[in-house]
Amino acid sequence: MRKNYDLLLKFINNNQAMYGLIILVIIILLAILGPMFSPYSYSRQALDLQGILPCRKFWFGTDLLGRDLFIRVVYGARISLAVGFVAAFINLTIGVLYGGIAGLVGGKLDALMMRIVDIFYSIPLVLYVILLIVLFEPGLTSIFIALGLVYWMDMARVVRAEIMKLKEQDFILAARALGVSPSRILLHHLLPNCAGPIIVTATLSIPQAIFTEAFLSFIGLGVSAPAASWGMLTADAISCIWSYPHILFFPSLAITLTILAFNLIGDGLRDIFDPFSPKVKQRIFKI
Amino acid sequence: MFNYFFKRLCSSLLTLFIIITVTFLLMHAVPGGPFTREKNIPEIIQTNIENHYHLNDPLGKQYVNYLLHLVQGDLGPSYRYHGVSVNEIIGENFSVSAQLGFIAALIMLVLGITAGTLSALYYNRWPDHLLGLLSTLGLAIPNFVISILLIYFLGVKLNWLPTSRWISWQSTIMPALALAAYGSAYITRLTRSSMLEILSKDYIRTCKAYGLTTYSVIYKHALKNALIPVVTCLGPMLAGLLTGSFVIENIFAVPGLGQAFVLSISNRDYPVIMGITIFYATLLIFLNFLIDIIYGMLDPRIRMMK
Amino acid sequence: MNKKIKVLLLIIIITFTFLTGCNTNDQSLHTQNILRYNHGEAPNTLDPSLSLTVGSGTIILANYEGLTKFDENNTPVAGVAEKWDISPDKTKYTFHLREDAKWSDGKPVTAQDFYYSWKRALDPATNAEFSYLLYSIKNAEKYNINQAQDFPFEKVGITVLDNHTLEVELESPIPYFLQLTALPTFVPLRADLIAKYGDKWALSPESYIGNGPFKMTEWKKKDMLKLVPNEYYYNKDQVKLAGLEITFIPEESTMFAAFKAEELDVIDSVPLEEVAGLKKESSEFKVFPMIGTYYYSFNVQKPPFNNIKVRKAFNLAINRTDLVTKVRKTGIPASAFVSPGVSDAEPASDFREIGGSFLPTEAQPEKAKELLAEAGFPEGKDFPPVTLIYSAKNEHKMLAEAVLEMLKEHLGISNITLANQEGKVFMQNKLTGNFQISLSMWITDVIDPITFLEIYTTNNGNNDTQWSNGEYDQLIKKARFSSQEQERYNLLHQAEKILLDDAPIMPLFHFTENCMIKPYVKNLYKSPLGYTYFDKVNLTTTN
Repeated sequence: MRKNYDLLLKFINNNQAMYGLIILVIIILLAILGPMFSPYSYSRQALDLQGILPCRKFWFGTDLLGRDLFIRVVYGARISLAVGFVAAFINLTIGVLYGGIAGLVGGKLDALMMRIVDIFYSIPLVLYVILLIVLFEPGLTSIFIALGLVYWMDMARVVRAEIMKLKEQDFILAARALGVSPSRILLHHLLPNCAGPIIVTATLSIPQAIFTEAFLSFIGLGVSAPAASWGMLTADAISCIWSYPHILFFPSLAITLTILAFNLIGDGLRDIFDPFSPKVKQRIFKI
Repeated sequence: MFNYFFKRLCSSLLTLFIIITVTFLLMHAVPGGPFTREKNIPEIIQTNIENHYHLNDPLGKQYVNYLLHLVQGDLGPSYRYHGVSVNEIIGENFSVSAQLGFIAALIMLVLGITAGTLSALYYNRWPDHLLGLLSTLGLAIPNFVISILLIYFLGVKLNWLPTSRWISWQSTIMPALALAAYGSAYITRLTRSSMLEILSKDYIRTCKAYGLTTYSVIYKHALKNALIPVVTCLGPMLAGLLTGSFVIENIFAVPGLGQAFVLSISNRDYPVIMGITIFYATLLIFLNFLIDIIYGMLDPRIRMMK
Repeated sequence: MNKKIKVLLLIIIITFTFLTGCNTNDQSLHTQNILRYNHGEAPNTLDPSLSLTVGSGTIILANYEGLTKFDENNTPVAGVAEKWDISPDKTKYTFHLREDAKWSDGKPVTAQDFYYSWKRALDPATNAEFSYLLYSIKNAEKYNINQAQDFPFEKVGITVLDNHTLEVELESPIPYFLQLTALPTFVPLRADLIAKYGDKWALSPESYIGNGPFKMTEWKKKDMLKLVPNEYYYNKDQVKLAGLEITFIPEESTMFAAFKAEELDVIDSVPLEEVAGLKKESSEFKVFPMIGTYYYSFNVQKPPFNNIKVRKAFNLAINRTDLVTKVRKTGIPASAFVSPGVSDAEPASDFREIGGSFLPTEAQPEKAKELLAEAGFPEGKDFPPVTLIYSAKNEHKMLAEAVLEMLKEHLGISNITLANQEGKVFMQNKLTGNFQISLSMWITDVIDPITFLEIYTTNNGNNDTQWSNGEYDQLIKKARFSSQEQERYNLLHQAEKILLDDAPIMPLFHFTENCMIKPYVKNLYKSPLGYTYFDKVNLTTTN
């Protein structure tokens, strides 16, 4: 309990993590509550009100079918954040368990499992993501599946490395000697002790997922219209740079801010979990 | 030593074999074939063409056939580009992508390491904050937005650089910048944090106490150690740069391997898909091996021979 | 340390000053009388027998010339054939080739070159996908689909009478045969070069020898193609350009940027977002009519579109004028299937004008709702879920979104889903009838109403709607074998009426091609079939 409280205190005192968190909370709140502030629907068109610049009526202006861009960005947030969080969830389940089991069991199984991860590291993942999405037909579900199948290896490696370090320590040896089951050792003793790297890796996997979704939208494999993710809104708007730059600007800004927020949080968390970080500040070599 | 290389080679070949098999199966599972067209052509002609390329053979037979050609170094003909072999496609496109990737890697390393070191040296002062902001932007803006912004400002508004294509050294700058943006930002941050850690170590303080100049402390002692994490992440990153990015090659009309790869998927040009996948995997395996060796040279404590 | 930063800043400033004014990306080429035209994605092949797209056709027709060629009014005129005789029953053509027609290496063009080319295209071993274009020639189809290869080519209606005379016998008296001979598939080819270079003959300038106004001098595979005038072309005085550079920039926004930065003289695809502004302000923006229709197909085998009333209600619920003016910004609202620009029996008459219009350009919501109610879905109630498929492209998506809104607003149907499908998956689903409503586009190979209408005959490979109507089939068949022009067109008008009355399709608009052309480019001809011709182009900056 005491330890958790310390961590929380550290988090609050860590400026960049706090900034990141504040930005993220605002974005999430907008994604959830945004539609309440706006009288428009994300699909309702007004063909005579095309490409209007931001004004009091349309905060972010309108797109080329006369739809309110603010509400589209808000709904886009739901999709993009969903993609990000699902990716993080997959990392936290598949990645953590995979790495955990490999690290704990060790021996031949570990070698085999890591061999598989190595194979994944040697393939052009773009290919597999595209093929999987084409196979399952473009849409949010297939994006989840494709991301889930290919983006868990980083986490697996991190967790395995941590477990290897921890498992020879006294408290684990003691637990073993007491006859605690391996699954209980993994879930109750090992994983909580490598929570730091796990949380950091999971946080940093979210931007990666959002970018991958944006890339898929760029090559025309995004979610189905009229819904649109941020990636889709941005990718469709790159030709708008000449005459309607606001249609490109706002979704890009949303992506940038979100990824910025996740990076700040991730870095902040890393500083907090890294026991060396306070010393860094005191003993820094000055020029 | 020999043992180590041999083991490594065997496991690489096994990896390649698995990748080939999975890619082959997945590729054939995807709907639509290389000769599915928008306008329907008479069925008999279509079958005729498919027979010509043995596409109607049982999948197992096609697979064995492919492997037999592969061991002879023949990646087959492209189904889309008539009279062009996959070897030629990879040759032509990779040379472009490799040039682009090389320039981008150079930009990435020079920019990233310089900015990261400066950031660490000016820890918590304005250069650190400014570089921090820039590197965050580099990490957070999608590459197609960076590309179109470069084209818009440098290419059209200021007219400093050609907007697109791969014709002169000037035309390499914008795609290389766009390609290097993410990597430079990443390396900046990595260098900064590992540099900070190193700079707080006792031996650096000792060096300083001995009266060594700032320059020699940084370049002779700190940087070499601070670069170890950079080197580790370099393998997959370099492979990505060298084989190109579809988005950037497509936007800047650079005839590289990334573009060829995505096009081959949408054309269901099976031999090209397989060829580029194998090429890419081989490159990755090789680069990872190389990185392991460099790693060992940078840090003698890490033994590569187990 | 401040000194170091200053040095760094200096380096940055110097680099950028150096870059300034360094943009020498051939911005002055047009003053050397060289035209820079962007073609889009690089062609898959330039082999005339194997080429698939209209785009590569443009390049082929710059290098080659067939028996006939299209003039500015899109009528076929003399090309390599100086004149021709047509038999009274219109099934036998005798072409007299000009004596001065030469290949770009100086050798004369002979009737044997055409014979060889057509034989090659029809040979099953060549695997030419567009070989069906030659099926109007007698027995050509039989030869082409004969896999055993025991059907003698001598039976096909192509005969070389002498070096400069070619006789062609047709299956039926089709009136557009002289248009066909102007297409890329019908150009002559050099047997000696193809034998010598094999598969690779169409890849390099040494072996890619044509008989057209230009010849290839360099081909950087996915970057660009350089052409210069062919000094042996019989009409070389007409060719004004000193050279032609065809680039392969695939992204629309990039080619637009390249055009703005003076790196290109002509682009023939403009970002949709720009069209409205350009139409008002730019003299460089040009719209060319095309012969083709953009429409949605209903799968008439699948509910709810097995009900004709639903199909008709959908057709009446669309505001086609809005689609054209407010969404796509260019195009002609469709009032039927055959697009304008196709001539009728009388000279200078238009099939569309005579046929009249079958569809309203504005929506008729009352009538549409009435029909829908009669079909059992008053105010769209209980309407089953429907999926509209289209292939991944921004333009298709925007149009589909707009159509979706119109259906929602005018019919009260809200459970239509849009499904964006990857290119080949989309094609596969269409060919196998695996859809409810789908995007369709039809751009014809030649200008004749039958090329639109025959796709909806039963068992036609392109009839994705699964619609079948015996009377319609009969009318088309009769028209195909009619040698009497007036009668033929009457039959086709009747057929079109049946098609639209039964409404297996929902025509939306007819295509136009949006181009940006620099003001100094004169006499560039864009054909409504999609080809671009450069032989008469004149760049006025040189004068």
